[in-house]
Amino acid sequence: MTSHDVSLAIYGVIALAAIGLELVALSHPDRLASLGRTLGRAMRSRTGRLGIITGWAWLGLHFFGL
Amino acid sequence: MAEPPGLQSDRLAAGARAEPSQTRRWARQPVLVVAILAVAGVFDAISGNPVDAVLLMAVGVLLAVFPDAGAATEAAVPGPRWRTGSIVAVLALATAFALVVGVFERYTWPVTIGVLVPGVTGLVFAWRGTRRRDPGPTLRLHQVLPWMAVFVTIGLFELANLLLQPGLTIDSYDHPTLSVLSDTVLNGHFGRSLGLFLWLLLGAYLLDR
Repeated sequence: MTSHDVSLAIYGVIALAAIGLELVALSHPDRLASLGRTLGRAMRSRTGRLGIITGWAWLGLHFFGL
Repeated sequence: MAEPPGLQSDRLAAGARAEPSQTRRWARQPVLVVAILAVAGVFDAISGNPVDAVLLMAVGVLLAVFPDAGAATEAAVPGPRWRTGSIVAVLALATAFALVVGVFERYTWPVTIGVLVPGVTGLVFAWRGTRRRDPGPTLRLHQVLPWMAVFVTIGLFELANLLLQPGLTIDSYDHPTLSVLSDTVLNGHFGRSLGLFLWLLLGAYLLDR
């Protein structure tokens, strides 16, 4: 197994963990907040809104822009 | 009798306890967000991404100079936020955006400007605040901690891969960052347009939260 394979596996585990968390959150909303609910709460403040939208804008620039 | 302003969940929370929740206090703390933006901006600058760095630093400076006053709660919007017309308009806009901007190669000025326009527009909307969905009852820290762990983990793993590259501006096959992994998909016209389409939809979704 190469370093590349290990890296891919780790990305996969993180993605699966996120999917698992979302499924748990949807079935047990009292124990865990869904990602949408978490983002909604974070975006109640201007700091949260700017932080999250900056992250989104950065994603676009990082993957497509200079 | 007139309905008091603000979201229903806020009124319920205010009735339950006067103190804002721990997570809400954290979300209002600009210091943490400014620190994250500053560190990310420095890494972007030394990684040869000047536009990203300027964006992150500029927002960080804005938040530091004009800290969140808080307490501004807009009226909740009754009924579903997204009507069919709005959805069709957003999908049409995202499609047109993807088709036009996706024509240009990645890491060029036309795409950069094409991404900056909706990005900065989104930031203006975020600064002013919008009428949003009611996010429901206030969240406890233990309810969001796993998500924080996921995002910190992905950030640290990205950083580790970045530092394991031969150089900060030299990609590594053995230690790929997500942007390196995305090259095979986003370098083609179709993949690039699809990526831009999804990115713009994500922005619309976030601004609606």
